Amino acid sequence: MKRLRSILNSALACSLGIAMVMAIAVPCTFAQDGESKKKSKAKESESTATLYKASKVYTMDGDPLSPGQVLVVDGKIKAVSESVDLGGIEADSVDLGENSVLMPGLVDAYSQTPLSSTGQDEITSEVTLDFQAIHSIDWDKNSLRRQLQAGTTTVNASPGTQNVLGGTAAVVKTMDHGEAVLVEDGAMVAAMCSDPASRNFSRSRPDTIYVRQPTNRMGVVWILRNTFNKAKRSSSQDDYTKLKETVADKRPLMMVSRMSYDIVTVGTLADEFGFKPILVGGDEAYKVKEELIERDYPLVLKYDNPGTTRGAEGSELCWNNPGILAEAGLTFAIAGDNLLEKARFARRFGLDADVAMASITSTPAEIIGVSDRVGKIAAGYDADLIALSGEPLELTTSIRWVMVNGKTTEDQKEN
Amino acid sequence: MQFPHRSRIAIIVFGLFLTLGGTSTAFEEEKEGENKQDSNGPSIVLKNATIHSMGSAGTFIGSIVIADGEIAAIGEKVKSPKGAQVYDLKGFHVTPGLIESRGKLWLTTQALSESNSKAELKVVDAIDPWNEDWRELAAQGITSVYVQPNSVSAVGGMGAVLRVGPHGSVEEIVMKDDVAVQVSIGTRGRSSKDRYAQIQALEKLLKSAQDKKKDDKDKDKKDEKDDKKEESKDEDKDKDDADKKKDDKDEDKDDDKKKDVTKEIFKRVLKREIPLFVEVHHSDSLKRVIALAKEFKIRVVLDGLTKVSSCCEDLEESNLAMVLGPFFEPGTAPEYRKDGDLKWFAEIDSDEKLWTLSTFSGSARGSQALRINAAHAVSHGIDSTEVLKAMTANAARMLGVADHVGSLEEGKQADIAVFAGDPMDSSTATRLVLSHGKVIFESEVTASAASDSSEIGNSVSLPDLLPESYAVSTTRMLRNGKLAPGTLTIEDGKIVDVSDQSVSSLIVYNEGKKEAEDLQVFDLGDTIVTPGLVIAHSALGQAAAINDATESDASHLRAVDAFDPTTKKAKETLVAGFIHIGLAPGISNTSSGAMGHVRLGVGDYVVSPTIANQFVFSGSARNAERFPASLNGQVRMIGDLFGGSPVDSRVYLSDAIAKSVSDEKLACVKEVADGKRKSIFLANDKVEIRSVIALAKKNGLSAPTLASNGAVGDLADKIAESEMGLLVFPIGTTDLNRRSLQTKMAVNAGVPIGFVGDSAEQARTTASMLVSNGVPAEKVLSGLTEGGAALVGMEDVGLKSGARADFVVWSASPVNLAAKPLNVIVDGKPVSKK
Repeated sequence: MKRLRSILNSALACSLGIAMVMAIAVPCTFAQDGESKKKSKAKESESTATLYKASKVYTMDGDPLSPGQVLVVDGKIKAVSESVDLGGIEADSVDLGENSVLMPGLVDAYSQTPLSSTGQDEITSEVTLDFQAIHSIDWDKNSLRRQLQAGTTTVNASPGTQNVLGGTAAVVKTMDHGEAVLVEDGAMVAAMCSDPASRNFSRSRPDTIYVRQPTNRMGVVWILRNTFNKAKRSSSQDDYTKLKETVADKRPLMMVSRMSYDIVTVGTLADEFGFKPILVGGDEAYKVKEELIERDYPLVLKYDNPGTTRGAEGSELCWNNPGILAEAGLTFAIAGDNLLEKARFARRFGLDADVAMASITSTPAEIIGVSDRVGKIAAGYDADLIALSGEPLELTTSIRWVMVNGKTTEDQKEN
Repeated sequence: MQFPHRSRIAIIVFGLFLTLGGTSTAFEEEKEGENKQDSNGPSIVLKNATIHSMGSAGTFIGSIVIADGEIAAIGEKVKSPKGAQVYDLKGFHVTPGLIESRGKLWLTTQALSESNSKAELKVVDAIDPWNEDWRELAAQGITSVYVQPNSVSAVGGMGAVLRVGPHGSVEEIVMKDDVAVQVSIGTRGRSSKDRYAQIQALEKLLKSAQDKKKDDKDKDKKDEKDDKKEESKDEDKDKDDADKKKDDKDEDKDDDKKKDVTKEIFKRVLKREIPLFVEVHHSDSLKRVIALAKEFKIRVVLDGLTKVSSCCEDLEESNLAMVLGPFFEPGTAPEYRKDGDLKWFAEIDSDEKLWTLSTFSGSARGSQALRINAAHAVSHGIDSTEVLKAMTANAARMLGVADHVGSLEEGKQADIAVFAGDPMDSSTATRLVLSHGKVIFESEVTASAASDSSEIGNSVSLPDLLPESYAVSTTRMLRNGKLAPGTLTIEDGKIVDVSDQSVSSLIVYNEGKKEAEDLQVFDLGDTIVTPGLVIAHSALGQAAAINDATESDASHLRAVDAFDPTTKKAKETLVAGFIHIGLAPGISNTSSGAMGHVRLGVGDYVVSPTIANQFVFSGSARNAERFPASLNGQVRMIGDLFGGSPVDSRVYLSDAIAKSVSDEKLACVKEVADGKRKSIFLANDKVEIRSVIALAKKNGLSAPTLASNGAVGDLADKIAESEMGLLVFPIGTTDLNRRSLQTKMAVNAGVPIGFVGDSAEQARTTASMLVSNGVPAEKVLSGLTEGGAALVGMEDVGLKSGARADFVVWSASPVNLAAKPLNVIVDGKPVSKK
């Protein structure tokens, strides 16, 4: 018995050992190109400049460069071209080697991932216009770190959909613990779907006459209409200021709608109150593309990896939804976790490769209003980069490192 | 372990050369050093330490040489071999590695609840050799743990002594298997009838084993006739029993398969090879167990013993070994331990007894509290040397491992703990822990100055009757966290004068004044005198009463309005030396109401009803059935309150009443915003803490106070930057080190601290653990007095002229859990201890 146990133990210890060796070996592969960076770190007190050389650079600003060089100075991109003229700048050089690809950090236009896992939505109220997602961002969340490792560098952290009007979203970087907020009080998020009615836990409080609305989809529309009407009638400085800004085109309005009829209703409300929303969700957008072409709303598709045929609310999924919308000439971003995977699948089912790349970089940046800082590799932009082992949309390509504001994921590990 | 042999030869050779003379010695030394490097790494030398050998050598200042996992040499003057790693431990105390006499380390979670009614279970079969909990125990100086099956059924199975240290196989962990048979009486089933049945079962097992033992003997003699007689006598026995006997007769007795394992084990018990570990909590069962031990002449170790104060004499007489504990139990005690304690033990002559100490914890990490338990045992009046002996030499003897561990002697296994001061002081940090000669824990602490901690026994207490006016003088008076000489002059319950000198200089000073002659001066020598201690944030066990759940905005409510000062807990807290309580409302409302300053021990107990208001950012105030249900909602609601706009009430009230209530609530919050009341924010995880920081900044709150059990250390700089104070939640025995270190980071960043706690015990345990993890004692003592009080807006705490004469005389520093209050003085009068 004892012997058996010890054999078992040693076998387990062996496998543990192998796992450890692997764990050590993996970072080692990075270590080679990391070495020169370490040198640059030593000089951090002054300005740091690093020139990254890759065999291909997707700038998302014209055709890809092959080969390409990107000069990063103090967390910003200073220059990008096939061969950067350093012009006297003393820069460390990092050659990423053969088959290496650089692309901009990914931008997620609609996500709840950064929000604290406890108490995201204020479910006791229908309308919480003054709520800001920025207050409940959990910078230490593991899932946020995973998104960073999967290439997402900028994310539009949005309130959930259990309120009809849930408050405003914030655009933040996925690294740097809150130092990197691009937009603190951004797009207003409204739910034009059945979520506020179906996930309504707070109805049965015994010591109150109050019953939380809405209880059905009609109610959702009624509350939206009612709130917009109140905003219209109210004086200039009051609770409805933020909503009025969305009508006056001073603040983006994101409306979450998945079903075809909800998307149509968004159109009706938009016509009635004169706002131009960003449509989020859009599972059945392919069914109503004619209406969408007419109105030209930007879309943020919550595109799920193929596997199921039904989405949230029982929507009928079409795996080539992005492809169909692209052919119709609509502007859209793809949102969700593991963006690169999502773009790869969209392409596999019919989406053009260039559009797929844009839908996770430059297009979402434009939609959420941060296209002057992220979504492209261009001079003056934030140094948010992903280094890949090959073509980004190939399934076998892996991410080597991710950079946010000039800092790579490896530097983070060292800290 | 192939090396001990070789090393022993080497030592003999080494000794031989020593006698031969100088030059050759040096040569041999070098050679030996090389040998060590080849075999088991360099040897280790612990130099200039105060060594509590717990063996015949007693306590002395000297050195220990460790090689090949064993103690190669120990003494006042020992030569260190070349190439050895030398630790200069001047001022440090070295003890044998501590032994926990009943723990749960290495056991899988399922094993914690596993049990059957036979002795066949072996606890070694439940070991998870990759468990990491050992680290927490190593940090407390513990190097061995006795574990046994769960105490649910009467007979549980066989226990084992296990090592503390990094291991990957069961063989390496087990120091000794089959140590004892575990028996528990009265842990399940509360009535005396249940206990009687359990004793009966035990007796039956012993009897049948005795008969069997006889059988075997008879068989050896091949006396067939006798055997038959025996069998006829036992006709009323279990059928099962009889079957076994027949089997024995019919077949070869070496056939293991046919043997009744339980009976075999009990046969070994009868032969005195294995002791019975009997857990017993009640006097009636104790008497029966003692009788059984006598009748069957078996070795019995008694265990538990929390409710047996009425039969101390039987215990003394029986001379059975004992495992005592817990002397300290945070949280609720199991039914069989309720209303019992171990104070009786101080009454009996423990020097003569073989007894050990245990935490009796139900979890692996719970054994971290071993030293806390030891300190509590000392505070109950048990001699501290005896307590240390209980955890080392006694435990090793009782568990049958005394040949290897339990004392520091040449040739013994190098299981050694090094402490930065008195090992029996719970606030002493651990410096170094070795298991089998390998370092399993190390920390960078400096030896603590002896002045801070104890010399228990030298303290002088005040008489039970005190005059109207008197003076108290000591060389160690606690003011603003610092211990310094001082003299208090007390008149009519007030402090009329505080001087910075102790009595000798005072007499000179007062010579010119006539009234000085009338003043009776009590010179307490270097006894520690502190102000009445402070729990800055507490509900004193009355949280349920101090909580209104109808609405999340309860800004206008006052905790003191629901306070009952006559509860047992309030009385206990006072007797334990805590006079000032920051009475806090419950935590289920986002704005939970006003904290009040309560002074225990007086009729007019409310000093101030509204010292601070409490705001809750943590999950406890989120409620899906009312606003707010999210952190965002809490941020918004508190922001609104500070901004002067009322929170929508969803309780039905007529308009006029609703208006007046909301005005009153806003007025209370305005007092906070204006700085008339302090603000207390409860926030645990980092998102919540960040929200508090942002809110305080936005509303310009001056020096808000954070109450948190979360990762405050990671945000230490930010907390310090916003000039926040920190109230430390009670540190339990499951996350003792993590929480202590997080708090340490905050203190190092300059954050002042105070304590949260439902009882005096919780506050002092937390304080003690912080000091033992390297938080400066000065900061912690300040947190228990003026500093902690200031964080919640309590005034008039501390020893200063004009204040009420509230103070406590201690047997040692209050951060040492071995210390107890000798006198608690309120308004210049001693508080009765009953």
